Amino acid sequence: MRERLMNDRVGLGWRGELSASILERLDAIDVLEVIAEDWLHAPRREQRALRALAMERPVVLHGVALGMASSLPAEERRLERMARLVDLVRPLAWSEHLAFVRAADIEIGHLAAAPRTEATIEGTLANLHRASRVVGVLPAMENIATLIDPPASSMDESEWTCRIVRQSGAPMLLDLHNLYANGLNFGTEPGELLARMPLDRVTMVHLSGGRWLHPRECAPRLLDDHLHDVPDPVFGLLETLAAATAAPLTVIIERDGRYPDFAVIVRQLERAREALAAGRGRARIASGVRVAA
Amino acid sequence: MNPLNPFSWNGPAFLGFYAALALAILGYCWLRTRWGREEPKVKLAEMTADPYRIACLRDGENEAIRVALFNLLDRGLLRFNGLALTATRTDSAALVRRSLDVKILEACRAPKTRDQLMEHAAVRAAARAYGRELAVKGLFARADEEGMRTRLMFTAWAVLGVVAGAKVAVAISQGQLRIGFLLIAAGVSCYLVFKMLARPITPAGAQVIRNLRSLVKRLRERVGSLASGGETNEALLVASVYGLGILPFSAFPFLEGLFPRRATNAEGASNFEISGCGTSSSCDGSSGCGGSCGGGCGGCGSD
Repeated sequence: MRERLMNDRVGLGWRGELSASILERLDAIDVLEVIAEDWLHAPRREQRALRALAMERPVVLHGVALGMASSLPAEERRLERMARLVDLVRPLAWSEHLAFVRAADIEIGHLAAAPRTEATIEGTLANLHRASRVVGVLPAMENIATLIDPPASSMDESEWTCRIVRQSGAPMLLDLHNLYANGLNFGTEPGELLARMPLDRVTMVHLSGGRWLHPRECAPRLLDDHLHDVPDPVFGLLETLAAATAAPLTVIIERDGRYPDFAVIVRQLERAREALAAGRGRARIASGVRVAA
Repeated sequence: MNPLNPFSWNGPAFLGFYAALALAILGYCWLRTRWGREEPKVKLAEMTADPYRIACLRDGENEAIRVALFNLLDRGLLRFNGLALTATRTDSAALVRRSLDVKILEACRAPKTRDQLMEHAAVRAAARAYGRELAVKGLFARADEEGMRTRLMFTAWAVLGVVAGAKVAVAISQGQLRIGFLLIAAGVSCYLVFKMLARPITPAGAQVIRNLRSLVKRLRERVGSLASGGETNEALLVASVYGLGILPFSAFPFLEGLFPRRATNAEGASNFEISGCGTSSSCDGSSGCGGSCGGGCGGCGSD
């Protein structure tokens, strides 16, 4: 299976709780995604451990605190720290969220969906320019899940995302569970929402699980909590994405708690590989190339 | 006082000179252990594939045996009755794959005390194999490097001792008996030289241990909730990277009788009573507890 995927990579978010299992089963993991903020303030000698890890498996640094989708400028000192970590670790890529995390001096402690307006597009583009200048490379930008449609929005998520990604030239980290949750929560078929995203810019994918909030009420919401297994429809979306894009994909499974036996996680990595292979196979058939069994 | 002859200097001035000399010697020793060494490329996965290798790297061959005993007891393949260790099954050696495990289980077909086991020839030979392997990987000093380190250590001790001894002799000949600080400085300097040169671990080996500690520190922080019974490899990895002193008796009660602890240190880890157990290294410095901010990602439901 892994040979057939060529340049696609399937991996896991590094979590300290999983470290023993990850180090024991590195053979089953193509790539690791590390939360950058876990390491930005660590002493240099500890950060070198991340470099050692990156020499063994490609590492992606994933930022959660820059607040790129905001009319406020991303803080220079945070970007500089990120740049130093990128310089040291030499990751495969780095990524951030299309979200804001602070307003004025108040830290929200949450990745919040910005109003989808011209102003936030401009702010995000400025932040991406700043990030590119300081870090030296643009981050892959991730779509986020939201339980409410951001107030004062003048466009939908796909249009807003497309404009930011296309105008900035940034690659896209497409979180398929976020997309799935937003689709279900706001009445759009997830496959349709996927088709409206800038798929030609997608280089990285997140998969995770969630749970239904208020399932008996009239407007239940799917919460992307990273505490559950990746649901089948999300693997289906991955297959669709793999069929629709030619670029190599780096797929990361995120799990932040209620950790199952590691064998379950390894099985999910395998399922992601199977979905990628199925999607790539569909694309080859569609383009008239017969693939030998 | 002759400014060119430090032995004629007064006490504080000579102590300053002696401290500078000790620093220069330590610096030279530090550089000498690094000169001409090619940085070995050792994969973390190679180390974590056999945690006994990590234990040996951290604190020597005895530590590999101790961690192996812990692992076999935790998995229920060995039993400890407070005095002796015995294999729980006659075929238990067939259930393990590491040579050290096999040798321990074979030796424990008949009851053995901990000390008998630590001195058992076949067990020691299996543990020594880890040391040889680490030397091949460049993580332990090779035989020629060990010789160089030993010569360097004795030379450094000789220089420090002769200089201090000469000053003591001069002081006594002049009727001055305030030599306590100088003796302390000489003792500390010699101890630091010993610490730097006596252990076989190379700078690259020390870096591997630091890297592993950084990567698994979150497990150390939640050591109280690690699964026992060999369900996962977490306890074994933590024990290998930090030492058995980090593991709580509540989860691993057999440790209390097998490796009694002397005292609990400030970090909550403990020191073992048995010789050479080296918890000075099991908890030394590089751990830098805390530090990670947790990412702010978990459970927020939106990233």
